[in-house]
Amino acid sequence: MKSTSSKTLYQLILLLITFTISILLLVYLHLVFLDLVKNLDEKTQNMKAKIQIGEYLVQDIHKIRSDFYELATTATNFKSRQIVQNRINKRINTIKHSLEVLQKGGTLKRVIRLNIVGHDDTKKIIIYKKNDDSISLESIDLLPKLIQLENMIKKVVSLLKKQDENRLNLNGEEFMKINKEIKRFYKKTPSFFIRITENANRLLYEGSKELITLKKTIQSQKKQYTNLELFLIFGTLLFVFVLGFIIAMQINKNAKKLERQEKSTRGILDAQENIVVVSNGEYMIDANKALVDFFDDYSSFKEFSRKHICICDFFENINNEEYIIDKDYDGLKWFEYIIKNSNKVHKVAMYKGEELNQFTINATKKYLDNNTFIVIVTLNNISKVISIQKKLKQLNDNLEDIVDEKTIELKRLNETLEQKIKIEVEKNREKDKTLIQQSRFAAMGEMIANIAHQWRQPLSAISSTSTAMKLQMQLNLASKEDIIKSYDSIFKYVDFLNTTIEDFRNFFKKDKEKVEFDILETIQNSISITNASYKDNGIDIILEFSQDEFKTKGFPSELSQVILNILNNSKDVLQNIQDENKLVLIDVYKKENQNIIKIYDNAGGIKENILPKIFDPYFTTKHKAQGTGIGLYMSKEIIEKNMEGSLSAKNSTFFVKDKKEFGACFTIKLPNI
Amino acid sequence: MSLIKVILSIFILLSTLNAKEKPTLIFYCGTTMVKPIEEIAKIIEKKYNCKIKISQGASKDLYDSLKYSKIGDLYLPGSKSYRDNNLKDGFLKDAVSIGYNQAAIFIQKNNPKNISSLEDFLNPKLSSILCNPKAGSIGKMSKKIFLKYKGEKFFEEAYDNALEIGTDSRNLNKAMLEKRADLTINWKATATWPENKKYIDIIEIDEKYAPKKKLVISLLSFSKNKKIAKAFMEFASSQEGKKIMKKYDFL
Repeated sequence: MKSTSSKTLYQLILLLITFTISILLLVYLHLVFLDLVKNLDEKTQNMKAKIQIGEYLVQDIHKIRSDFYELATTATNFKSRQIVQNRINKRINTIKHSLEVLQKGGTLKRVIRLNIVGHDDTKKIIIYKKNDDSISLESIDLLPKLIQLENMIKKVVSLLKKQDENRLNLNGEEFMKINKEIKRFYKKTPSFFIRITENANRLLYEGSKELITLKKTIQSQKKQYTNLELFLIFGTLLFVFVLGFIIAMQINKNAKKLERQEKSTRGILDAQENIVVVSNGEYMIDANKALVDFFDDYSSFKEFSRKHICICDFFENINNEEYIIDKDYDGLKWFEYIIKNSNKVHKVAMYKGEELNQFTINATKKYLDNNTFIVIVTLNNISKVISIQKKLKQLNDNLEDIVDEKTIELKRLNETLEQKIKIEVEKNREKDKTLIQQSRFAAMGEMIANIAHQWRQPLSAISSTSTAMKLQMQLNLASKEDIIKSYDSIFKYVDFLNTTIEDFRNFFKKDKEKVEFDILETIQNSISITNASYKDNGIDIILEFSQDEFKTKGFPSELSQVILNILNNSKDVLQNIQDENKLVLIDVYKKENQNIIKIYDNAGGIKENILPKIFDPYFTTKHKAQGTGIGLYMSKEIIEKNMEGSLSAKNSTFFVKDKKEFGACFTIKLPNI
Repeated sequence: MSLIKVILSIFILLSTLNAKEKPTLIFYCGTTMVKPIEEIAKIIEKKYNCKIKISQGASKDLYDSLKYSKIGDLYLPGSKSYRDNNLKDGFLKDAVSIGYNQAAIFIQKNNPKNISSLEDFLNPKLSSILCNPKAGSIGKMSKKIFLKYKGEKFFEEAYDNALEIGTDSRNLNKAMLEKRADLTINWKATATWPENKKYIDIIEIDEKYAPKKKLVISLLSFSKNKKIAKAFMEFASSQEGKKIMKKYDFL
């Protein structure tokens, strides 16, 4: 809801910003345009001023031309010619001034004669601004021609003067010659005046042309601006409309959502058994249905709130501090007091009809924003609970007596039980001792069986060698070399028997304290003890090791016992299998800080259902005559308790000479030093 | 209204506000050569983004203008003699030749008055117009022709007999076109132009009286746009420029 309202707010801000920007843009554009139009208008005015100057120039040229002809015609004496000449010079200066204004900009003042009584003339002021570096060709063309004109006037005045002199001197021939010269001179002047007028007219022509272009530019720019302004207005309106529509949709959606939420909240509130009252600290804003249900004299919250601004009007004073009433709590209002002491349990008592009901009361203050807050007061009717509690108390009192009796009885029973447990523990300890004894005896039994196996072959060899020697000696067939050879052979067998006995002795030697020893050597000893028995059963023992020595600390004879136990178990299983390729693989390697011994057999593995139980004491798959069920249990005890290692079993595949085998795998892990 | 149009409007509006003045060149051009020079000017204006203002008139008037104002970039009189005679002033610098002018007798189409030679300029029954020798190059040329032909007297009589004295070739042709004059001496090239061709025929003047006059554009010493001015000269003297000059019969 928060994100949706934020979104709407952002959209509204965006709408306002867009609107403001558009208006500002429009105002700016308008100002720019006004400035532009002002500039163009100024240019137009300037151009009009230029044209007007041009018009005055043409007028002046015409006047000069007229004066120029007057010189040779109506001005018949020196004085009159002087007047005309002065007039022409004055006009030339006026033209020069006009051209200077055109070149540099400035003000041109012209006096216009009037035929009005009291107003002989009026003044015309033309202001021309030179805005750019443009060059006035008219000035360039006209100025040298004015100089030429001045020279022409000088020349004609001089010729006229000469003509007058000749006339006065009655020098007819010279008079005629000069007269002809004057005529020739005047003949050339029309082209001069035409040219000078053309140059001035050029100013009018180009000025008018430029004025038309300017007007067109203004018109076109006005049109462009109007279009642009219209587009902006239309665009703004469209954007505002679209955005406004989106916002309206959003508000509508939000309103619906709010309505749903309000209904849902109202539903949740009304579903409450507790009375929930919402206040702004001054008067009640809302309450749930439970309020009207309790105060059944009122049909609605509206009616209730019209008559009471606070629910506290109904709080009864029952002279109990725990019970809140509408009073001043050291400067705090009752709900502020509850909020402040929220860790305490507060109660109120209110009448429903004649019946006094008790409530636990809770108040929470929630800030809607920095300045606005609401107080939510929850009243939980505990009248029934109090009544039940009373009944429970009575029951409780009776129950305590019963419990006391039973406790004494139990105490008595407990003491008897402790004695029984002690006896049973003692019995178990005895049993464990017997077990260990049994395990050792069983191991010894196995050893003896192994000794029997080991000795069978050398004893029979000694027997046969000595028998053969005796027979050969009796028949005097034995040479001295044969006898020595036979003795050597017997000694060899005896030595073997001795070694076997030594091996067994080592096995039975009880290690007193932990010693450093080589695991590989212990394994090899164990193999040599059981070797004969394995051979008899056609089982191969393969020993693989990754290095020559695997040092550990512990009891070598105990490890030997464990290995022999595992090897014997494997042998027992393998001897019942009809397979030509029976084998046991012992793989020894080091991994991290541990020596790993893995003993595999290819007897097909241990059944999955019994695999978890094989290390349990007294668990055996063998016939009672064959197994005690404590071998593997003891092995695990030895490895894990005495040698700080671990022993585990699983079924696994393994490879011997690239052939895949499957069977049980026992893993012994011992710390490496 | 499409968005493109609006964007274009804004662009135009802004470009109007930020418009920068183009460099402006002033070309003082003898009236006769205005047409080809205008054509070349348009090419140069486009190529160098500049404006070329052509001040047309009589060759002498033009020289006076440039001398007096000391403004401008190029000068092309109707005859090379204007350059040669004014070099001493120091305003005329580099030059290129772009063609030539030759004078001829201009008569009305089909010669209704049976005009045949320079002698007809003394015939009082004919209306002639001649250019002021002190204004246009053709005036100066006309004077030379008369002087070479029969000396000062002939020249003065021819001018005395003239109905009108004009300032440049355009004035002369205008008088012919308006049938104010029966004959004149003018630059031959102008007779071939479409607007004159229908009304004017020419009678050649012997080259010993009317030699070909070189047309030379001179760079002005006070030119503020020498780079573009030189480019103008280079173009006018190039094959492309000569092609334009030929089009107007100046080659």
